[in-house]
Amino acid sequence: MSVQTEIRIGAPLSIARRDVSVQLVTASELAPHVDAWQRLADNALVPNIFYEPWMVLPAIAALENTGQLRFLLVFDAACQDLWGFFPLEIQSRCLHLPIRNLALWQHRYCYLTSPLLDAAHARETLNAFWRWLELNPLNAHLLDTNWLLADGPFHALWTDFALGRTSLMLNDFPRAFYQPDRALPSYIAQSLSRKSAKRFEHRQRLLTHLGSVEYRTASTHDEADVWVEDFLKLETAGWKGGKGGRAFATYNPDAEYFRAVTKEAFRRGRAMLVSLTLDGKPIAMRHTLLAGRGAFAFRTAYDESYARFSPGTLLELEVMRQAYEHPAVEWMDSCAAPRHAHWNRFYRERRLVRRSLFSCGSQTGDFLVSTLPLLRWAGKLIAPNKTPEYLQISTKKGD
Amino acid sequence: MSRLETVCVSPAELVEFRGAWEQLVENALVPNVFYEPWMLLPAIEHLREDRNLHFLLVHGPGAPNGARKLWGLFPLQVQTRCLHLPLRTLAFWQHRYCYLTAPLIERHHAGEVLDAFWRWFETNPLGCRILDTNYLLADGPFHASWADFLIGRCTLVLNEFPRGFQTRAASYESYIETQLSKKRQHSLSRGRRHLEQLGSLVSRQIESANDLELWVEQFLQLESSGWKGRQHTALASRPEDARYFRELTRAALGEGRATLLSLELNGHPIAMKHILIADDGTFDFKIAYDEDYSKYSPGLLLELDHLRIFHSSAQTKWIDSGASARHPLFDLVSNERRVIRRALISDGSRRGDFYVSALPLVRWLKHKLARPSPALAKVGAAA
Repeated sequence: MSVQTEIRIGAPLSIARRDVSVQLVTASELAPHVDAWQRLADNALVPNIFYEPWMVLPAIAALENTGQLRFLLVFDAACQDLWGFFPLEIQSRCLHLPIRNLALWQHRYCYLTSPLLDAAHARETLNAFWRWLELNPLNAHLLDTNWLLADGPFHALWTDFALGRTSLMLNDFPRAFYQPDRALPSYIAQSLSRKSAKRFEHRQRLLTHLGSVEYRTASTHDEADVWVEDFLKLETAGWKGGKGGRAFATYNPDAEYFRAVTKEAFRRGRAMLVSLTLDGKPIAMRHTLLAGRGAFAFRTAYDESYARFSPGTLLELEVMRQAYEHPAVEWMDSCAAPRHAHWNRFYRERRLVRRSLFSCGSQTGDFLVSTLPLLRWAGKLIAPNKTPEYLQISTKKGD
Repeated sequence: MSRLETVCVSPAELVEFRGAWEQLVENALVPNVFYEPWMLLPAIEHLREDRNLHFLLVHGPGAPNGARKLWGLFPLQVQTRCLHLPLRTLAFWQHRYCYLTAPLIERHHAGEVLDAFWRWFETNPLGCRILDTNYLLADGPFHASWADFLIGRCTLVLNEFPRGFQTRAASYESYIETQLSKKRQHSLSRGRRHLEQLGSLVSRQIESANDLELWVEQFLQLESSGWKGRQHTALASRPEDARYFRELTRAALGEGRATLLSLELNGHPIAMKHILIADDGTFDFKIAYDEDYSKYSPGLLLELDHLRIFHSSAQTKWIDSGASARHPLFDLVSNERRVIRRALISDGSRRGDFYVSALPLVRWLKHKLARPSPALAKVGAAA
């Protein structure tokens, strides 16, 4: 018995024989393509709000190191329709080693790196991407996928192209996802025992003793502007504003990014800005972005001095209700970290997110990807326990 | 955590648990027909090559009367070699006719069962530091639970591929309309017309046990007359495999768990299909067709018959094609995909981590020294 690392593959990749053209542009050259790009985002195989123009352009403006960004655009043969959008970052280090690689761009506030693929031409587009990558002019031998979606139709397609390539899966984690298949009360009853449900009702009652409690949703531009400033203040007041945290307002360009994105999202009817207020003062706030039939839980903040009333959870239940009743929203991605206790409890479904390194198909690439696991193993011997707690093996945390 | 009990039994002891096992099958997180007793017990009898089979049973907490429910069943095989190196690995058992190795897990306690499995594996008495998952399911609720336990473990994905999977459309007609090109539909109806000119063309489904024996023998013969017979991979190429097939099909039809189809021309089958039923879905088990008629695509014509039956039956919601990676026929007729992944996973010991981390380099060296295999050369973007 020996392990067969090669599997029998029935046929080569089947790609419709349609020509495509690819173009690699820098951040400053994106402007002429914005309309086509937005159309592509609207017709994408899987929606990815973080790669839509109105989220990417403010990020480019606000964040550092954007000189290393390149954008691969895949057009049809006539250069008329945009079929694919791949934001790439040239990185000079990989797993702390000086290895040049290309990454699907993931900035601080980007929680998903699935490229935008036109739903009707996804195969041709992905094929064009790999063909370009194999001979890429940027001298990268590796692709770092960052937080790529690893389920659904996108993943089925992606794996077909990944077949036979040398790759290293760095991590693969189920992320809390909300897609209720039943009436909301019975959905919530699954995650919340009758006792805990009573406890939250009790806390809400206690809050009402302190003043008037309201759930508010920003509905005008002025309200949205006020909401944003309130959010920045509330977030900075909490642990994210302290040491080790990264609140938007602790760094001016980030705050600008947040303002710009929210303003634009609200203008397009793509933002759901909800807060829980006590006597008009927000004590929990939640920023949700809408994309196609889904939504992304972008940011949450709450007032820690009211922590004993669980304002964050009370608001979460309200947001779940609003999302459930929203005619366009079928699912909500929590964007949460692996094994996030709070989110995993309330959002009962999961979507898989995976980070892998792929060789671009060159000898060097294959060698590097094959060697990295051993180097990582050696690195762990030298510096053990560097893994964050939530990434440690679950059965080894002690009983 | 410790309220669950794990016990590793030999194949001979497994029979005792059949009742509990059948109950577990009904409450499994994802159905896996290949690990059901009526499929696995004949496989143990006919297909085991050595004595290295073990079955890990995970029992739930004890009731006041001491009785424990079976919550998990993991068929395991100790392998002594891995990538041609003398490494002991423990594999989810995959015999020649097993296309899915998802263990049976009680659907309401998946996390606890997997936790118990990993705790057992980390200190397993079989001396294996590496788990070989074989063809494990890599999507849906099973994978979400499974992946949670893989966080932080050294893992090497050996291969991962999307496999043809079919779900129901509004009607058979709309399925065909969206799945097959106009050109393909025309060529298929032309093929059917040509066949009808050659004689009487009948699509049959076996229902009674009387017709079963004949169908099975015809299948064995049809399959071995084709390329599988020439490559000695047909069921009839090994007497024990043929025995397994006969016994299995008899049991399956008796339990109402098989659909046996054939397309007959003048009373002779020119395409046959063996389908297994599990819970709300089915698995395509075996197909065979007469190569003399291949220009009329008899296999594909029978696929269409199967799709028609699929759309007319109320309880079947999905079909797993069981096909290999990039299978031309099943990728064509399947509207969806399910991802299958084979991975090696360390038990978390330093030695296990080292093996799993060093294997990619060993594999690279092996590829470098060996001539590139033709199958691998096809991989990658189309030229």
